Amino acid sequence: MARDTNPPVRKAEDDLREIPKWARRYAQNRTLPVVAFLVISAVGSCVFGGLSLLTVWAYVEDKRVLSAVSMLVLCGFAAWWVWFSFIGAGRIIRSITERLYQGDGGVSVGAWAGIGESKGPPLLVTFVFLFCVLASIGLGLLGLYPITLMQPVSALYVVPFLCYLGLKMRRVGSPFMFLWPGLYGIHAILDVAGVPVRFWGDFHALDIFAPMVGYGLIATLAAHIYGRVALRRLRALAASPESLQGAAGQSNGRA
Amino acid sequence: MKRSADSVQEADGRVREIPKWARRYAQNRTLPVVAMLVIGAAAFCVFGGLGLLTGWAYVEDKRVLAAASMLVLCGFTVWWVWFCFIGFVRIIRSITERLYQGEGGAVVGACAGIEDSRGLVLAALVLIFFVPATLGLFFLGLCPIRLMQPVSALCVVPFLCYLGLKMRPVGSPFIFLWPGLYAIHAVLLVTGVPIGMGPMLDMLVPTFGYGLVATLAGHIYGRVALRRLRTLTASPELSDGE
Repeated sequence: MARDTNPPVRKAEDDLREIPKWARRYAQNRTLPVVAFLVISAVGSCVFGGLSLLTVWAYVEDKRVLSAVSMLVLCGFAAWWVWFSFIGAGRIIRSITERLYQGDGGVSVGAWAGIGESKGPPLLVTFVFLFCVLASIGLGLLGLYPITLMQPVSALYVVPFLCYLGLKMRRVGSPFMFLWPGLYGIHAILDVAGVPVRFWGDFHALDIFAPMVGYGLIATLAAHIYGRVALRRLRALAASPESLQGAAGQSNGRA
Repeated sequence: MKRSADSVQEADGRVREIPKWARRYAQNRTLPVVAMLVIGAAAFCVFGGLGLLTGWAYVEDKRVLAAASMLVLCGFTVWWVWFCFIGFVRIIRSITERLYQGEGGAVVGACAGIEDSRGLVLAALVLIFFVPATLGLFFLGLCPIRLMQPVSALCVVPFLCYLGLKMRPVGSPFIFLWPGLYAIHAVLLVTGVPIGMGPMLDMLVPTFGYGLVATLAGHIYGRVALRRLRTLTASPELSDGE
């Protein structure tokens, strides 16, 4: 079929063709579930860290009742965390997502995902990552590398893993997620180069925790903002008179 | 004529006995649990051994050995995670199939009634709370370490009893030997009977040892049930009765 030379009709056709593109962009950038997951993980880690510190402090200060109570609360929280990880997370994250996107309705990226492709990383990659996490912590605790280099050492496996994850999920995930390994890698380079990017004194666990959660939040929030832009564009396209005319014209032609 | 009626009655009784012994046999096919316990005990020993080796090498300033054993420990941990979440079912199924190769399959599904798993999840979470809480109380010096096994019995015994009751339709009744022996061990330790072997072995031996005793007792009873079942199905009265 020859392309229509009438400018308003051509614009309407272009607008119609743009709709699936922006719909896909919007669907790929619905990252609020990842934000919710990161926030819950960060809060969980803070509770774990705070309760552990409180228990140790109370033990050192010989406050036996307080140390026992905080240790029992820590164990209770650990049991809850196990429940959350294996049972509750799916349900809680799904309910948060539904509430957050209540006004936007549902969207699926299934049409763009490869049929039969797995949604997550292959098991081998996950297990290699797990091995690297344990090994780097163990080597650090044995004093085989300075504990101040924990973040740059972790970047050696975190950055490839996150890049791999991004590539693996590129059809359904947001391209903004590549900001995460990118910023994490830059942080590691700056740290090695001696730039003062550590602000938490002797709390070396924060050297890994803050960049991991912080850059993750930056990446997912950037994607979320882009998703909002995509949604606005999509609504404008769907509501534009040219597009409505084009749609009407196409349906008339088909009829 | 009377003799013939008696033999028919006897054959009827034998036919009625077959499902009972078949169920008993199926309930006492406990070798998968034995395999699970052996794998668990072996893994516990490997974890402990590698942990001790790493600690010893670190204290003795043998850095290469410390690093190597720590890396092996990490590798083993990853394998253990794989085993617990993925490999477990496959490996135990393959072991079971090999062990019961000559006997074929047995299902107790008809009398099973353990669909509601919420109670089990809650019980498991209570156990997950109790194990680190007990360890924490010992590490904080709030409880003498020689009482580790008796204190753990306060949670382990009710948990194993609950598990046994919950799985009663499909599990072996001999499994109740496990919490029973565990509790007796705890009582003996508290009353000062010299059966203590040190904090680690005080936990390891009752947990895995009494588990093995219970499951092997179940297995032996399963053999008896199988023999009885074979006798019943092969008896001439039964053939006549049928």
